[in-house]
Amino acid sequence: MTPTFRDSLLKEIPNLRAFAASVSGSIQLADDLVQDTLVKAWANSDKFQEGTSIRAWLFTILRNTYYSLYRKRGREVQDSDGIYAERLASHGAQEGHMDFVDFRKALAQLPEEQREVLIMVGASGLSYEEAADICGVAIGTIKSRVNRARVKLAEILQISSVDDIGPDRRSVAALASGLGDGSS
Amino acid sequence: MRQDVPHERHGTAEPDDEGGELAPRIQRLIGERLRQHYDDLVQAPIPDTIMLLLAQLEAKETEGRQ
Repeated sequence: MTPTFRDSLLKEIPNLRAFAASVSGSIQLADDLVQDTLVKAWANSDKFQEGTSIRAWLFTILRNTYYSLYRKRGREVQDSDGIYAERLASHGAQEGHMDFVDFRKALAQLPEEQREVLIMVGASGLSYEEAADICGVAIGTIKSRVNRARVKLAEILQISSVDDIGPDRRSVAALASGLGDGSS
Repeated sequence: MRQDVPHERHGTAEPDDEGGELAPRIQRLIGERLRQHYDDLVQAPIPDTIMLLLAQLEAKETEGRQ
């Protein structure tokens, strides 16, 4: 184990947790997943190719672990809003906490395959190509999943149906709040 | 607040169907909310159990080398 490898692992932990929590919907499950991932990564460090993205490599391990071991458990446990929200509230509640919960709930309603790629390319900084490698599908599939995820999110948050059912000001406000989106 | 969002096209539901396109402003909003969600998680303090695990992995390795 080189010190560099260890350091990069360490540096990736917050991202691994964020990805795991977003995919599984549970921060408890996320911590178990991260631990499993670290153990596997440590044991297989010789298989990591220098010069490639360690984040993509770790996400692959985590994702495989999730699908083979945790998904069923995740459905059974189904993190109560409480734990997840509570733990998050304890650190960064600088902006509307309810908004955050609304968005997380919307995210949880997405099909799994859409949610994971949206998080990968829309938040974690992975490229479409890396996401395609991780999921074992074509780049075009990733693009269309991301697109459909966005449309679905807009739908759930009721920002695409203003013409049909009248503006849901609360959702729009929730989505727009705290973004410095100068709506003057 | 009016959004210029084209109505979703119905009918074709191929796996690779691009689906409806969202207005850039909505796309931006969703992107920003998503990153906010993610960054909140990234900034959460790392539990001791995880740091402990790393220390254990390291200790085991050092042991193995001797």
